[in-house]
Amino acid sequence: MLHYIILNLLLSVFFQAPTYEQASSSITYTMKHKLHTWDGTSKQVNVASKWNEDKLEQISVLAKVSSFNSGLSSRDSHMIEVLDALAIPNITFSSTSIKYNGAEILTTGKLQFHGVTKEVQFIVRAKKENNQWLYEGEFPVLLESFNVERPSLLFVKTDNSMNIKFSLVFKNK
Amino acid sequence: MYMRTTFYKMHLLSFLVGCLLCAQPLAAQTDSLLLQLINENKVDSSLIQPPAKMLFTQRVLWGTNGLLKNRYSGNDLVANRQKDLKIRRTMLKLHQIGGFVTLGGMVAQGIIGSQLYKGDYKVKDLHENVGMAVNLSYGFTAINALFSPPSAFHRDKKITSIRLHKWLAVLHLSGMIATNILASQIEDNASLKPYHRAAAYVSFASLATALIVIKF
Repeated sequence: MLHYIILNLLLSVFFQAPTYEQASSSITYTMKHKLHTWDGTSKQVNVASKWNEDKLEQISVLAKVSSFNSGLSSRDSHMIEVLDALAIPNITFSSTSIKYNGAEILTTGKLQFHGVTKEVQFIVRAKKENNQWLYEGEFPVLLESFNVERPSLLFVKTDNSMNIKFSLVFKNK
Repeated sequence: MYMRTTFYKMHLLSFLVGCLLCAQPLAAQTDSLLLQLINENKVDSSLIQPPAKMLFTQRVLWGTNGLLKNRYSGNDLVANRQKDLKIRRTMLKLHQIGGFVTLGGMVAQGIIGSQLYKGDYKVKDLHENVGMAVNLSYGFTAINALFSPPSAFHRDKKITSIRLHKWLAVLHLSGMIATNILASQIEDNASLKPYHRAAAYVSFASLATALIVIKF
C-alpha cells in the first residue's frame, strides 16, 4: 500500500495536465443561404478538461453566442435573435465518452444549443506539435432539431444544416 | 514517530478521497466540469444594453434618454431587450418588403415616365399617382430602417455589405429628393425634364444596387 501511495504522490508531483490555450483555439460555424455561404468564428472558447497522463479523458466546452464574429454585425445580431442568446447565452458541449483509436478519437457527448440538449458523436483528430496538443474536428448541426428558427435573408431561409468546426490547443507544462 | 504516522495517515486519506472521486460516475464528473464553466458565464451582460453607437434617428426613440425610454414597466432588462430585438426584426422585415415594392414601383414609373417623355400625355395622371405611391412606399421603407431599435452589435471595422447598403441609401435618398423637387418645377420649366429623369434613374440604380449588395 505504501508503494502505491508513493507512486500516486510521485505521479501528482511529476505529471501536470496540459493547460488549455484559449488564444490559439477557436470554433467556427458555417451556414449556407441560397445567395451565399458564411463563417462565424469564436476565439473565446472556454474549456475545462480532465487528463489521464497525456490522454484527454473528459472535456467540457462553452462558447458564448455573442462571441461568434462573422464579420458582419447585423448578421451576428440576427443570430443573437434567432438563438435567443439574451436568455440562453451559451453553447456547451460535455463529453460522455472518449475512445482513442490511434490519432483519431471517437467522441460522444451532450451538445446544448439553443437550450436543447442532444447527444452528438464525431471524430477528433489529435496532433502533437512543438509541445502542444491540437484537437481538431467537425460535425453538423441541424438547426430545426434544436428548435432554432432558421434565419432568413430576402425572405429565403438558410439551410437547416450548419457545420461546426473546432480547433482546441493544449500546451504541455 | 508520531509525525511519520500522521504523514502516512494524511496521504492515505488523500488517496482514499481520490479513489472515491474516481469511483463517481463519469457523467457526474463531466457535469461538474461543465458547471464550472457555466458558473463563470451565466449572464452575457454585453447583450443587455444597446450598443453605444447608433443612428441619431434610433437614439431619438430607443436611446437611454430617447422618447421611448419608459416603454417597459418591468425591470427585467433581458426581457426588455428581447422585446426591442423582436420589434427590430419585424421592422427590418417590413423594410425588405418595402424595398421590393418600391423597386417594383420604380420600374413601373420608369415605363410610364418614358411614355410621357415621348409626348403621351394621357399617362400624366397615372405617372403622378404612381409617383405618389413610390414616395409613400419609399418613406415607409426608410422609416422602418431608420427608426428600428439598434442591433445587438456595432463592431464592424471594415467595409461590409451593410455599410455599402447604407452609403447607397444616402445616394438614393438624395436622388428621391431631387426627383421630387424637379418634378414640382417641370410644369413651369420643361427644360428640367432630362434632369428629373436622370435623378429618377440614379435613385432606381442605387436602390437596386443597395438590394443586391446585401447578398454579399
